[in-house]
Amino acid sequence: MADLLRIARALRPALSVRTLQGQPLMVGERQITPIARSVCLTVGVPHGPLALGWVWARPIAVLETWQGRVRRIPIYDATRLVLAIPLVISILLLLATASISRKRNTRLRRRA
Amino acid sequence: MNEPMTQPQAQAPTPAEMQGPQYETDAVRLFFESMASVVGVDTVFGDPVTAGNQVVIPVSESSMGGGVGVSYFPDEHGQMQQRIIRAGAGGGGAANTRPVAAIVISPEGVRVKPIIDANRLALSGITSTAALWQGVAALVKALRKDRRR
Repeated sequence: MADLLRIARALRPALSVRTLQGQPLMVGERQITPIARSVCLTVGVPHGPLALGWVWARPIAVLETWQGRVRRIPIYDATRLVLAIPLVISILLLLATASISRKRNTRLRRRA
Repeated sequence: MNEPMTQPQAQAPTPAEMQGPQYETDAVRLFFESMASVVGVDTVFGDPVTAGNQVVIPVSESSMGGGVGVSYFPDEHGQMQQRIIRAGAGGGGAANTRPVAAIVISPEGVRVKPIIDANRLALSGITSTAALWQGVAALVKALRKDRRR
């Protein structure tokens, strides 16, 4: 257990976020440039016995260049947006319940 | 004639050698950092596919993670031996790719068509419905208690 605690204390996290631009693609007269973002999180003990890492890459947008104009078209993750709705509702319900309980407790304390 | 084959005895590394670049987990950290460049634009945006007068580019989200641990054991006297003969190491990892959208390039223009992951929605729909039900029940209970007082 002491060894585990010692290792946990020595862990050094490192986070890097990068916006990456891909090779432009010509389709007819239109030039399409993809843009992505990568998040890299590493946790480890320098010269030590443990190393963990996680990398996440997701699309951000595409740049459309046509007739001298540049248009940025964002890419949304529809699945994640749909999943976020019940999460937001749950948080709102939790806050409402906590607010009602707090008000009731304050009222009871004042009466007492 | 039939001499037994002898294999050269592999010498275990010394503690000093264990600090060498091939054993350092900094190399693993470097691996994770270089992984960020591998999981990049080329992984997210697939090769364009031509269908009639349209070009479709598949777009996905990728994630990759893992870890490794190394341990050295001292001898029965609690001292590191001159040559480490007892050491253990383990590691594991996982990778995931999920379709997000498709970019459709036609003579009319560029459109981004989202892709909805029905399986993921169904699975998390079950758990979020249960959580919402609990939340509504707690809110109704709190409201009832509030009215009684």
